[in-house]
Amino acid sequence: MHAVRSGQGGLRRQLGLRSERGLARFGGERGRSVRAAPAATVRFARLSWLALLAAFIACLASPAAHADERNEPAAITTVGVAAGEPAGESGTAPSGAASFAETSPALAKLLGLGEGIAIGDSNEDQFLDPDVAFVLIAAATGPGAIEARWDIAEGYYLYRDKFRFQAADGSGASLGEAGFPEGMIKDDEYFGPMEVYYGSVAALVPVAGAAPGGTVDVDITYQGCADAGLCYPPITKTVSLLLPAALADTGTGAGPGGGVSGFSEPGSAGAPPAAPDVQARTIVGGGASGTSGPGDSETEGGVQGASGLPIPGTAGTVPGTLGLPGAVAAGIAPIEMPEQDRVATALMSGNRWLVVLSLFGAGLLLTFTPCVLPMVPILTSIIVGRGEALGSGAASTRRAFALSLVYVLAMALTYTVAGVLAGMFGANLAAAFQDPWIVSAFALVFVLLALSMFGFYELQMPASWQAGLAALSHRQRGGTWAGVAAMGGLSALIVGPCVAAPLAGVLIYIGQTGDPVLGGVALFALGMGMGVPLIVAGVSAGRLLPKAGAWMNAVKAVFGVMLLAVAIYLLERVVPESVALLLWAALFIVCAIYMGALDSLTAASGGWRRLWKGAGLVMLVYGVLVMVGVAGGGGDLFRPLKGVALVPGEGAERELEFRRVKGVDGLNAELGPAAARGQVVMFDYYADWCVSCKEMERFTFSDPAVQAALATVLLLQTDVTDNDARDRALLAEFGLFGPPAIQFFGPDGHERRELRVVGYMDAGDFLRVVERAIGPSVAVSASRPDTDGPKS
Amino acid sequence: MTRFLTMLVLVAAATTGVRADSHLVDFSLPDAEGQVHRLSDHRGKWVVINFWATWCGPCMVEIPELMRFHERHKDDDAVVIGVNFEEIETPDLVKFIDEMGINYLVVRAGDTPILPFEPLKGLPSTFFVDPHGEYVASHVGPVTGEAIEDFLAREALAAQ
Repeated sequence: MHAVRSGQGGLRRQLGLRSERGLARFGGERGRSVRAAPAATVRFARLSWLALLAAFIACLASPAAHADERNEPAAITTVGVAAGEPAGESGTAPSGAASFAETSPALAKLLGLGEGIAIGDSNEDQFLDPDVAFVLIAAATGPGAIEARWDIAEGYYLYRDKFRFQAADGSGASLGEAGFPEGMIKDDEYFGPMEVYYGSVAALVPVAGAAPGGTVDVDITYQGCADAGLCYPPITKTVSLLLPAALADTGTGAGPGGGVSGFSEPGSAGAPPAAPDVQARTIVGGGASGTSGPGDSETEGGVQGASGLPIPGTAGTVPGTLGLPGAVAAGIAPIEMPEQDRVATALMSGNRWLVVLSLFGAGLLLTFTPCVLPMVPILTSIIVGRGEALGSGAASTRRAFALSLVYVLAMALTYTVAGVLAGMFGANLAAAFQDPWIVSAFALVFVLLALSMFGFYELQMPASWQAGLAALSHRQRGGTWAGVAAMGGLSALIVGPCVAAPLAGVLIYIGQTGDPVLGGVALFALGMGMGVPLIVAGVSAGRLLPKAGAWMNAVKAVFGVMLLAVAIYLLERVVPESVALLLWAALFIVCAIYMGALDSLTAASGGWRRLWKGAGLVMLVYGVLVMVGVAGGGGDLFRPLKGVALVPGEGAERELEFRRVKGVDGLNAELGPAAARGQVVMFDYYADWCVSCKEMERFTFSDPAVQAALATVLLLQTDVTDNDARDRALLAEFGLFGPPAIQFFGPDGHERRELRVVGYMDAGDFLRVVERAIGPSVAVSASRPDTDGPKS
Repeated sequence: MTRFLTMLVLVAAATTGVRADSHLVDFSLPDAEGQVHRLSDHRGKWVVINFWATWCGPCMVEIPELMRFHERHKDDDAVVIGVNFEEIETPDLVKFIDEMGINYLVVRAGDTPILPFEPLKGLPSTFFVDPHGEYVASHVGPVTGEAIEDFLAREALAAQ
């Protein structure tokens, strides 16, 4: 029994993180490993935040994410072919009882006497998926107790000593000892007599400390096996239970992850068992209709696996084949793991060094978002400002480097403090940065900073402070350092709202590990990652820029404009799009005026003067165009006149009209009728912070050919900006980590996983995907074994 | 630091995992001592890859079968590799292998899915890779040495 304990101990010790990863690798329902691994849903809140980070990064760099999906199906094809050959023989396979007697009697008993094992028979469907074998129904029976009941399929059993109940962290509730009925003693060949349950079992668990009328989140862990000799990994489900005096109900729907839908409705859980059969059948179908042919399969990776799987001739023999094509095909799913998953995986691997390294990398990537942009002028102005005091040459460069380093260190330390606080309190500090008021306040700060850059006033600390600081810096260099450090810390806070999404993910991850040291180190790494390019900028500014002088005013003005741009960028998320566009237009126009766009030139005007005026005019015109666009009811920062018909007869460009859905049930509500109509469905995941999503809208969905191709397709979209429980459940349902992602569902209502689009895709490529989705290869691809959509 | 390097190697190995350019399967996984073994080290023989865990009763019953099979074939045409599929402390794993007297290579599953074998339905799960390194069959639930031998014989017949 020590062995069992050590296994369990491992699970606990690792905070479930690595273990869940491990569990996620049991895929009853292939291709949906997140859901298939129920334990993974437990901490899905954390995972999905990580996902936010990952997806955010993917937003920046995801177009390539698809490239590596194309590689694997070859293996499947081969397995399929190889598998086909010996199929005919499998009928004769089991050797006689005489030879079988040689094998372990225990095993013989396990298998049922006289029944040999024929390897190569596609035997996976011989076993139920764990969620079908063990159906959990939990309910509050009163304000102080919950009941968990399992319906256990025939031939399956649960171990009594493997049940665990735990109130989720932070719920404030505590659970008493669970009361179980007497089990049946099963004489385990290896472990000896074990108390197990067949058929069904119900446990009563006392709850203390939970507010009546409130909800309590309970993690329920259980483990069982099949008589036929297969053991499932420990399964952990989180149930959200309402604790009223009456009306005890199961899942409130607020539970983290998709677990709730899985077991609060036994009916729905009953659906999946057919899946393995379906797989076998559909593979035959796939092979038979594989007429879509090798030509296709060369081009599209995912589809190659589908159509290439069983060659038509061998299709009929599939049930007897060795290769278990269904299993193998499903095995692709993890291979398709896009870039973002890897980031999350690295974070979840639990290895501290990997976490730190990943965050450093994430920080580097974040530098290339607009978020860090405002830091560049701040930093360079510091360097340049100090430039008066700097000498020149090597000493100056060193000093610029030192100043930059101090600035970046302070910035990183600010993040570190946030990380440690999050680690200690599990608080979600960064989420506050999504609040409209806070965002507005920061935008205002930027505007004030910008105005000071324009020279309307000198933004200064109170004279007394300033005098003190000046005195300090005269006496010792520390004053300068302190000032720079303060700016660094302030900058970190200022760009906070910008990097809020990824930061929130990291902070929550750290908050949930409850490890301040890891939190601090990880956030420091993130800050340093963001800082490295800043140091480069700072040093080159110190080296390349001449000493302060009149030109500084021009530079300051440019910085001022950039600061205003950042303010608008921040406001974009809290004000209507048209207002934001007007602000942009105003920025362009005012800027143009300052550049002298409307000043008259004289014959004596120099070249620079003329150049500025020209540039200013361009900006002026552009700003006006944006305004016209807004006034015309359309508008787009990059295509100002979009939606404005200038030429009579030419209709305004259409946007794709999506039907908005929310959550798994919302999707299913649309998928059901669509399948009944035989309509193909395109399902788009959107979030406000997702850059790629907006690019898709702007450049891909606007393409007339794409729109034409999608004419018959039901267009659904979900907005996961909030990333609430229903959003997370939906993402978990499909094993997605977040937008950008687009799924297609065939006329049969099953997802065509091979057609998933993750990241930005241009109109041409996307058109090909759409054509596949609606095209003739439907029969093949829709029958992919791992395409089972959500059951409604 | 070595642990970190090992992790890097592991991650690199696991992410490369199955080689993209080929239908042959491979993996690099560490044994209980941390020494890394490649599946392709065993080219030329059948490799029976058995996923197991110490909490899995049927696996315990099956392991002696695999030991006998390995003993009969290791110098000839087939070897067994056990993949320990759980979080377990190294000393516990070593002790378990010793007590059980497992005579074949046992590696640890690590943190990254071992493709194309995963995801698993449950334990034990067994996969068959032929002498060329092609993944040709899988079996969910317990196997016997006899069944494996039957399978290999059929494969040999089919190859002729």
